[in-house]
Amino acid sequence: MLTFKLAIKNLIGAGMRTWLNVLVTAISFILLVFMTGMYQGMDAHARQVTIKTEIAGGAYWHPIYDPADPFTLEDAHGVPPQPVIDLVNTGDAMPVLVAQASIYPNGRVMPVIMKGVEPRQTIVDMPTANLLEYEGESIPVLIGSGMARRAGVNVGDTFTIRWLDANRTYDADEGMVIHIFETENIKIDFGQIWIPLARVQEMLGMPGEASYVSYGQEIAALTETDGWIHRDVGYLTRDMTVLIEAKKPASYILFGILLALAAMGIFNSQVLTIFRRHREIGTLMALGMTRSRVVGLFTAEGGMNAFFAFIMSALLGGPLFYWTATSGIPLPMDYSEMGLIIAQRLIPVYPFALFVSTTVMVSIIVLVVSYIPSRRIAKMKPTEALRGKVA
Amino acid sequence: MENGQIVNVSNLVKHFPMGGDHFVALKGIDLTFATGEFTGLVGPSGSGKTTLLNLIGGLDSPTEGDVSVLGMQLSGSSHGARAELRRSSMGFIFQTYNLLPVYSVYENVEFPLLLNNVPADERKKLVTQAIEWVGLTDKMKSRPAALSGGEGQRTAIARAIVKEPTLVLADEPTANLDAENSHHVMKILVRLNKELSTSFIFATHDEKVMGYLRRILNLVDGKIVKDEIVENPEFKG
Repeated sequence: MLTFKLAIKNLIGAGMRTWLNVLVTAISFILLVFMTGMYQGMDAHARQVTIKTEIAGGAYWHPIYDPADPFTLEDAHGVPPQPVIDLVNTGDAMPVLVAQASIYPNGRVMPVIMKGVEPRQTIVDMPTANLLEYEGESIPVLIGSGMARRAGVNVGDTFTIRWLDANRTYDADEGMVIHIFETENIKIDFGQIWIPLARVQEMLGMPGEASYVSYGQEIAALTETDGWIHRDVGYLTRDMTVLIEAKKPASYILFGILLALAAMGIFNSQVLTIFRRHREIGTLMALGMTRSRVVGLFTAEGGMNAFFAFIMSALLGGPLFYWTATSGIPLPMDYSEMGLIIAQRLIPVYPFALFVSTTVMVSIIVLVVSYIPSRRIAKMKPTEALRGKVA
Repeated sequence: MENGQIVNVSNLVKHFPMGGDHFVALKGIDLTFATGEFTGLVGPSGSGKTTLLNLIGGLDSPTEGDVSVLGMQLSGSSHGARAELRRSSMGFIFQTYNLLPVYSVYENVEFPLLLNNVPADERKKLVTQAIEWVGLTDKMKSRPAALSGGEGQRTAIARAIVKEPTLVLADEPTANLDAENSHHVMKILVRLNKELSTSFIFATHDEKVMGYLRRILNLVDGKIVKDEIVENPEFKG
């Protein structure tokens, strides 16, 4: 107890030197939490956007449907099982019919995935209702802004759509861009055209059929699916999970670099402190403090330094964390061109566990880097310390 | 302790490594100090005064020979045991005062009592009394940086005697003081020696200090060349 009282007294008594050390540690702590929060925010945002605009509560896939293999699309269609149709009829699910197609905007050919979607659906956050506004002869098409840029088309523009129907016959017709939507999810944007489901079923000669059926987030999974495969959110976001896991080493490295910077700052100041205070160390020993107790005192000072740093981090970082977590951070560029699902306003996520783990890690590091230079005290002879020699 | 002896030094040798060779600081010293002595180790620089004082204080270990302080053999003792002896029974006064810079006068004087777990009430009484002895009551809250040389050394004296130790070791206590402050400090120490029966051993080459000593040990090149008892008027009455 006396050691801690003395450590606090020494730290407070040292004035500006202490507070500069505390400030540096606090800044490192804030940066650690902030950078990790940014990473977690990016991941959480990407997952949230994907669920909201694409996955919803999960899906039932046609037995051979595999979105990663375009060759399966030709055969991956059928009438969904009755329990799934019941969900569709109550508005709790939406069927999607998927087929390969080509479009010819401005005289050039672009391979696309053509998706038939129920315009009145409320399962995913897509402005499909806009498809209802068109009453002309052309095929109404909904596309994302990224796709529109690549194809060089605007609302009202037309292009030829060519597809292979159920009879393996190529057909073609004119499509018209009815609406261009903004989305952060490139997977519903690039290379995709969205058309009313009934129209696609008619074009492909597949009445009542779908490739998959997505269901709402609050809806319980069915047990009877008649061969259709249930895919939950975990499965449907697995590629993203893998991507996030792949990014983790980079975030750990960044975390490690920041932690090392903080540790080096504390280590450096501790070495300097011991060098500057050799006479004091000698005096403490002469007054009857054992070497281990002096080591304990200096280590405790390092520990208290960390404790003050946490308080300062809360005072300085608290408003920053609150502000960024509520208002977000505007990003200078659109990352969707790079194939990344990153919000234009990045909202960091600071879970409680992040504060706990960072606090524990910084505390351990601070204690270790306080202890290591303090061990030199144990090698000091009191007479040499009093004379100003450091071991 | 035999016959009131508080320090017993026998055949004490101390070498310091110097380059590939070594420097012999003490060459077979045999000495005893009795309770209540007011003794000075006197000699030129490099004669071994401070080395002998450090060995008596258990701050350093001898190359050969034995030092026994207050009945404890220091040569074979652990660092912890020597620290305990210093904490409980010894006081130190340094040439450069060695006050803890972030503590006030009161806190500096209180420090040895904190190490000895003295209860708060008694601590307050002893600290106040020690500060009164050295005449620094009006400076209790001052930090070392705000003190003059004389005040700093008086604070160091108060710190050394606050726990009423059996033995105080003072290394050149007046070296950084002017004549007036040197006499002031020595008068305080003489009074404490009389009132508390505390033994004092000085390492000094200051003529002003020698005027107060009752026993003078002359060291030259690591050997005691003269051991004399002095009739000192300061101790009369």
